[in-house]
Amino acid sequence: MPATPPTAASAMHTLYRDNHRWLFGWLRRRVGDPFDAADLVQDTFVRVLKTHTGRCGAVSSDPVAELREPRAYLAAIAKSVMIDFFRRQTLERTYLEVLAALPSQEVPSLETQAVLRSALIEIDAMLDGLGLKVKQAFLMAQCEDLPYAEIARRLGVSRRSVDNYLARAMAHCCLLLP
Amino acid sequence: MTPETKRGAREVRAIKEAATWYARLGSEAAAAEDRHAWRLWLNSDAAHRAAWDKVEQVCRQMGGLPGSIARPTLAPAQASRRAVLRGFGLVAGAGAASWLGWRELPWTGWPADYRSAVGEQRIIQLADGSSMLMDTHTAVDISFDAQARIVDLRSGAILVSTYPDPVATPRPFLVRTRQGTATALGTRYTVKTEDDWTRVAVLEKSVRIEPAQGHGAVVLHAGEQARFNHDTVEATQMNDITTASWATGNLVALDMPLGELAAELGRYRRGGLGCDADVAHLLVSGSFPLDNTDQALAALTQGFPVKTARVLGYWTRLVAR
Repeated sequence: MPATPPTAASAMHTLYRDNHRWLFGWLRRRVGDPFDAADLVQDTFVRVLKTHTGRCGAVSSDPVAELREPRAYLAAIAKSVMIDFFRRQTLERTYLEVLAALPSQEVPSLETQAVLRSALIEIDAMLDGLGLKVKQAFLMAQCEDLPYAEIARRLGVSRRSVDNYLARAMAHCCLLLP
Repeated sequence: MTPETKRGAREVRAIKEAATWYARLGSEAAAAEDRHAWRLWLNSDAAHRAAWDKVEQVCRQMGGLPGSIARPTLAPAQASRRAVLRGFGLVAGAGAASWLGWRELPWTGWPADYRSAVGEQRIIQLADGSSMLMDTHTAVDISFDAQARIVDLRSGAILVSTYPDPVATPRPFLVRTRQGTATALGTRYTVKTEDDWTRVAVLEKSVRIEPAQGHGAVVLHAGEQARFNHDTVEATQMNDITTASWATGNLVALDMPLGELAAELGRYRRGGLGCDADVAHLLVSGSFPLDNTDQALAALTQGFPVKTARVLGYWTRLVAR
């Protein structure tokens, strides 16, 4: 990550100093749990920081200092951070259930489980927006190495649809890359 | 913003071509000529190389994920892995119920073809290959004949995944409620009854809504939802993370009044769940597991100024702490 220009850094510091308590209260009222709320405050500021260092870099203009309504802005970012958090929670619940249903010899080590969890969260975000069958086809091809004829059979679609699904999924993922 | 907006048309075209090559080369039917043609394509333009690098990057990112974990976690078949993992009912083949004409049927207390108990979700595989995930406390009648595939939703909510009709003359697939019909145009969608309203949310493709006594129909597309009563369709809204979250076994709330949340959780809870008026307005956000409403209640009572009170040992109420 490029270094934040000094003016931006101090603006960020001010933004944090003046608003982090308020933001904690805002999140705490919504999610209830104080530890979750504290994590979400941090995630929100990290996202603000990333957005601004990513966008301005060495450019002299400093969007953080220019914010007219910093709290409305922070609330909007916090809301999207919260949505990502719920999505992650939902995914983790599914993941734990899938792990619990695996035959014991296939259950990965705790260390591997942690690595897989973060990989799954990233890939879940990457596949977001694709249809269920498109996702299924892509995962069957990519992670299970199934022949297309078998994918078509399992999904109840034609071979040509499998081709289309895979091309669509791959294009979608590539377009998300920087 | 779609990811395509910040890229040049040439780059987007190269990426789409690369993705098509990826699909073609990965097939068991790919031959030496395909690989040869791909190499010519790859070497003909620097943009092609750059696009192919992205394909490889995606493959690397997904490589190493065991299929036995990745697919059920990221794309659970038929929407509810809970229903499957918990051994909830999986029923094959639609019962051929006699269909008496829905207008004559009383809507409550009728012995429906399929029912789910309070707290239960179940998957029904229909005779045409379509499937239906029933939410808690839901009653459905199914009638397939030569003209149409009809699901009568008497109460509760369902997620429908339609399948192209296998018969020679494809029949329309429609879900009817007291308020009207929602006809699938090849799709996944949810239909939920809410007192005098029916809510339809489209996850893929599109659905046509027709109020029972209204004029004209409204077509909803993927990502859209709308509520309708017997004669009016309300303005379309966009789906968000809360839409159909029940189908993954969770209730996701964003700034939901506690009273509404309690009513929603109560649908999954034997004995019901109420909420006092003086705390009903509290806005709550969270993701709550539907198969364990005690856990959801614990999260609420820890995080918000409320506690539970039991009435007659059964009926739970949320009251001010």
